[in-house]
Amino acid sequence: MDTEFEGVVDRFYQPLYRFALSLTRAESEAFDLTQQTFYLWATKGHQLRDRAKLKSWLFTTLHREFLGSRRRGVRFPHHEVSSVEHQLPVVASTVVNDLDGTTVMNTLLEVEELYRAPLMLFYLQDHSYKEIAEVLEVPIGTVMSRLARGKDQLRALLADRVTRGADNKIVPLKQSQIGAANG
Amino acid sequence: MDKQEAKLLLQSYRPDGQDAADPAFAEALALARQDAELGRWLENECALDKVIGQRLREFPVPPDLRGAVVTGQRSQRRISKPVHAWWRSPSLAWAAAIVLVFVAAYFVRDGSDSSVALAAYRESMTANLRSGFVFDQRDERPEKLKDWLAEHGGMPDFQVPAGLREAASLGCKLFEFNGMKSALICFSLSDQQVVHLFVVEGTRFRPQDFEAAACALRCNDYDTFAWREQDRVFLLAGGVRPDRLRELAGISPESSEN
Repeated sequence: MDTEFEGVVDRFYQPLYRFALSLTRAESEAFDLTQQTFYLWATKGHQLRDRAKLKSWLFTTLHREFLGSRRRGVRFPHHEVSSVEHQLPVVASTVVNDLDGTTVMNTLLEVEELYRAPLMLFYLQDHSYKEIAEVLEVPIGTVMSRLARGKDQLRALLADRVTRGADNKIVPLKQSQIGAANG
Repeated sequence: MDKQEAKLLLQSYRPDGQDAADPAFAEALALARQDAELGRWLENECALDKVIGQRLREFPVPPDLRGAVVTGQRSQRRISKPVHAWWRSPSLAWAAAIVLVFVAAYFVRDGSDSSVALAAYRESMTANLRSGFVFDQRDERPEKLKDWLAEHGGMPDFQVPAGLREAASLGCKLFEFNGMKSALICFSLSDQQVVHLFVVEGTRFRPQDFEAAACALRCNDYDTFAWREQDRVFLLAGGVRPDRLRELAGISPESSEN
């Protein structure tokens, strides 16, 4: 049992943490959220009969825990694919290639909350748009529109960051800053 | 489907081609094959998404997270399950008694002159890394962590090695070793590698343990480099090459062989 549990941890704790960070923007909260997800897996995971759905179960659980912790009373607006404008800022892959992981993550954390989660799941690459829809519990069209808009924002921010240079480094919020940021 | 619609759909297309067989993308992909401008756009799009994905997957995860998850689960299990009275089993009790005798003999012999072996310190500290732990304090400024260690652990001031002075810290933790406090500060290097710096009072360590051959050794799957500076013993451990550890320590190969 220990070996099986640790196998699941080894396979998923890194992408789960990065996904949690994209939701919370705070390292300590992402840490807790990841731990809580594995705690739920250890205590309730036996209810999952189809082990092929393990990845989806873990990401969905983490997302639900995040929403629960935020106690949101409002639903996110759904944008239809056809209504989304589409004009991406130009950023070359070679330019992004010169940036490090921390810089790209910090830039992603500046994207609006609504778009961060699907973007992160998309870039973790194990998730198709259908799986993203399942994890976030939203329609497929909504995922597509959020991905498109999220990419718009991310590229604009990356272009801006490249233009400005690396002077204004942004770091994920610490626990003590969360209240102010959410308030 | 026009080009604009195709572009919108293909924003959800993963860059490594995992979605190539998905019928939802078939029409848009066919259009991209026919339309040179759309084809170039998709190629650039995939290249950019691939790089962004790589960079995000390189973002460092706290080195203590895995340990915290696994340790937390073990603790939870200990609380929620009845404790087995293993000592009631005669064979296990005898085995435990024999182990205790050997352990006691080891410490009596080793502690006869109050000296401690570098090998035992290295083994104990890398075992801590391997089994997982939770930081006592987190901060990306090493000086703040040193202040915290001085306040909470009685660990007097020490110099961060030259090669780590520009690196951001992740957090710190205090461990016990042979009745001494051993401080750990973890650093994140510019290439996302993580290294662990242990510092302990050095007066009880045997000088002969710091000969060149004993300083750089692999232990518990960690490459390590140890050195002594004034009355402190430093131990660097990480998943980087031993010569890199030596560079980070700021010690030239010549000086460590003296």
